[in-house]
Amino acid sequence: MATREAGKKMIMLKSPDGMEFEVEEAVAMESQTIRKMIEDDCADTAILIPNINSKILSRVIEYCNKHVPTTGATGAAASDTVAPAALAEDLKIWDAEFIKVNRATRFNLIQAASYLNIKGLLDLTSQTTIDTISDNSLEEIRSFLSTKNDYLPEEEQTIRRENQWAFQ
Amino acid sequence: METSLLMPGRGRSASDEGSRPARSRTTCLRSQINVDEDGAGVACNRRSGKRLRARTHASEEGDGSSPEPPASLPDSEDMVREILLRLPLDLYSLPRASAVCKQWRCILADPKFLRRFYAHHRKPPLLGFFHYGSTPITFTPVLAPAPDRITPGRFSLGHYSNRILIDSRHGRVLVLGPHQEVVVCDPITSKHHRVPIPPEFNGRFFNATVLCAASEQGHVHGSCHLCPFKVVLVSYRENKHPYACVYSSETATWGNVISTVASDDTTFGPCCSTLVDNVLYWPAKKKGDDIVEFDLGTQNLNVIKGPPCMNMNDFDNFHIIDAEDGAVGLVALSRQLNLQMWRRRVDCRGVTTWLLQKSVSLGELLKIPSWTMRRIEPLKVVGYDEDTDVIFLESHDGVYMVQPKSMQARKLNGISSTYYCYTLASLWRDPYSAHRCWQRRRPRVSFSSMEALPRPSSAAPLFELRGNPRVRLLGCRHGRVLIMLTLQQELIVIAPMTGEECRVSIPPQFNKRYVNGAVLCAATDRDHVHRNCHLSPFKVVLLSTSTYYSGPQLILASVYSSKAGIWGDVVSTPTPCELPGGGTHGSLVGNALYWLCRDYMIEFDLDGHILALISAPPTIDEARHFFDMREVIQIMDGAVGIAILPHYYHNIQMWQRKVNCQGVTKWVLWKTIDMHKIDGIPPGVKGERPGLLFRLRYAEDTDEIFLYVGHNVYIVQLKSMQSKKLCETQYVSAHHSFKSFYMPGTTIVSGCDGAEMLRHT
Repeated sequence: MATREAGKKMIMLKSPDGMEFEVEEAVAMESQTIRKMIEDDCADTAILIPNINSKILSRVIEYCNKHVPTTGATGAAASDTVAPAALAEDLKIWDAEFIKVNRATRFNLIQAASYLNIKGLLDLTSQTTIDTISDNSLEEIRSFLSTKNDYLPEEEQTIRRENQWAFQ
Repeated sequence: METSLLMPGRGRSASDEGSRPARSRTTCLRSQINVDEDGAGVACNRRSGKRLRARTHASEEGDGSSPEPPASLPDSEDMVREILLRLPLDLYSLPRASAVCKQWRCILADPKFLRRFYAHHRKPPLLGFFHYGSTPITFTPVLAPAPDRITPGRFSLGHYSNRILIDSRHGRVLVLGPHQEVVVCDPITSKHHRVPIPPEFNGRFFNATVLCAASEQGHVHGSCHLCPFKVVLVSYRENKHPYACVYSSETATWGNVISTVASDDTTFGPCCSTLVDNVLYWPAKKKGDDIVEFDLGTQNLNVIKGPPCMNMNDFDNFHIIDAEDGAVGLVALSRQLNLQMWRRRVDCRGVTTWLLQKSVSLGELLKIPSWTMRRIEPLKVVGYDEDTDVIFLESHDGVYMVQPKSMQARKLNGISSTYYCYTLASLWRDPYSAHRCWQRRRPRVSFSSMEALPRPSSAAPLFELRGNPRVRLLGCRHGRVLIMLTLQQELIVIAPMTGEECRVSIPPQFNKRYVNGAVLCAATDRDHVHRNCHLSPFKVVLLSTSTYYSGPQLILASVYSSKAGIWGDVVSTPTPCELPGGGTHGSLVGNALYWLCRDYMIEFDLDGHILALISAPPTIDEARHFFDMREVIQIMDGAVGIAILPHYYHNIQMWQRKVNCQGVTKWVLWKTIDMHKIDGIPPGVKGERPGLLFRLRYAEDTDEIFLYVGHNVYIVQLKSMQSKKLCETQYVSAHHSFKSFYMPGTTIVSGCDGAEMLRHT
């Protein structure tokens, strides 16, 4: 364990509100955006992550930490001891718990995942959002996402009429 | 995808897991410990304390029952795209999401987004299947939760419901048409495309296959509504030696007939094909173990041998399937009531062998106790969908869906006997996005001159309507024909070139009114030439000058855009006026439509959607006669004129409209064509009406005047003033000709003009 620790390269991530997070390079590289920065050698000092506050960034790092062993090269040790299927099941349960956050946090997580280009997190957050709203009425969807209905009543009527079967 | 197919419900792993809070919480703790032990988790995070606190806090927020503070999505379209990308593929989610707001609709109609969306989901959902027995062709939905949402008529094949089903694939259904033709129906868009079969297949039994011909990378079948398609026909000389022919909708032509030889002890019969990669397979269904193989890429037709079980099996006991990795497979029901899966292997020396990969007891598979198993006999294979890999089995007690790879089965309730299940795996499509995903290709048959119009008598009827509905032909332009069903208050736009039909209901403001209409291409690309517009979006402009009741009325106009799929606002003239009703024909000059109505010309500006009433030239040879034929024409670039064929047919006068700087309109006589200068036309005499019937029409695209004199058609080129006799037609009858001669312009090469159409209305 100690030798593994010693070989690890650490990356410093900075949130705009001044917090600094030191993470393993492999964990940070879960984000394709950061991976590209590292590969392009733009990551000598701390990487500033704009638009993502420390609260969200810490959660993102938590997610990457959890997910790095199954996808990254460092996961060899972990996968040896646990069956892959069990590990996947475990991760699924962990994800379900992880995403139990309020709407604002979830939206911020989507934004962060989208900016940092973390596919798994983007899948998780977006899919959860879609699953939450897909059985709701249009009004509920709009209020859930605070989206304004900018259709004229006639326009909405027309759209509904054209696909009447979808609104029954 | 597999589970969602056979087990109703959408993929929602995250929230499903969330419904088991007790278990997940303990596991979560355990996993947290694992991470810490592993050392990879927290690593050297300086803020780990804070992080964990934040984590606990977040969980409380999520679990708390207090109302959440309002949160809105950050103002980023990318994020909305990311979320919408995960919408389920269940056909009704997309139209619903489209109605949330304009931004969502724009995203959902964006071809780039749709490509990502299809790529994300990879396979279209299997919506259900078409089948027929003694009843007309009916659709049975199988996709949950859609079944109860899809009304029985939703995917009707319209007036082709009483025809014979031949094939279905990539969201299209193929039926046998009434006039030596096959009809490609798109049940999602309700469009039909009629393909006359080549003479080599006339009067013979044939197997036909329809498939999408999209060749762009990343194309996911199921979104093929606007992509070109192919139809492959295979028939057998004396039921033995196969020959095939391929139709391509891109070129609207059939290719050469390709033949091959089969062994003499084989007898082919009607069966459905299976597409594996780019190769089609039809088995011998009556006798023998031959399989006809047609490679769509190399156009090679071959006969290959099937597995030994094919010979021993009874009719309908097997089906060719896609065994993955480009290999052909076969499922067979054995006498011992097993479901066998065979796979064809070709080794490096080209020797082929059939391997029995799997044999599963049907009793186990269909969850039928063994002692009742005998009762469900006889079992038949009644369908297969390549895209979603589902086999349909039928026993006397119902239809089962079986997924051969996972060996999962599901019984479909409420379905009795079926001849064959023609599956429909497709995606919903917003009409708004209709025009966009087409890769523009010019048809090989291009129009050179009006002489290319074949004789209508040899053409198949363009359009078929069941019963005897009251229809009116409102206009033709840019390769589309606009027809009104008067009783249904519905318009039909047909592109004869592609056979596509689009139905549009007339806005309620036009009820109980006389209606004039015009259809035109709405392509806005700068280099667009109105030649192959049948793939571009279109507009329909409706104009009504009066209601069914007398008295001064407001003139109304409204524009339908196929891009948006909706009617625009109804515009009207500020003051009422008293004009006669429908029956006039609009001309497009510049970007405005013009209709003549008694002493007025009604102008509808397509840019600003402005209606204007302009006085027409008041006098033609002193007194305008009721029987004068008048037509709005384009005199020069953008200048509006009127061509007049006076009552006595002795000349054609063309008047030009001039607007001075104060906006005052003046009509000036531009040119006069004396009838005797046109070769072949009997010279008319002023003051004497000849015995022949004259008609005048203007073709916008070619800037020509068409003159129908008796059975002959003459054209006069306005720029050069040259005239010639074009052709003779038997179709100009006095009764029909008045409204039948809408010149479709330069687009329609398939030989269907207005007269042809009206013959059937």
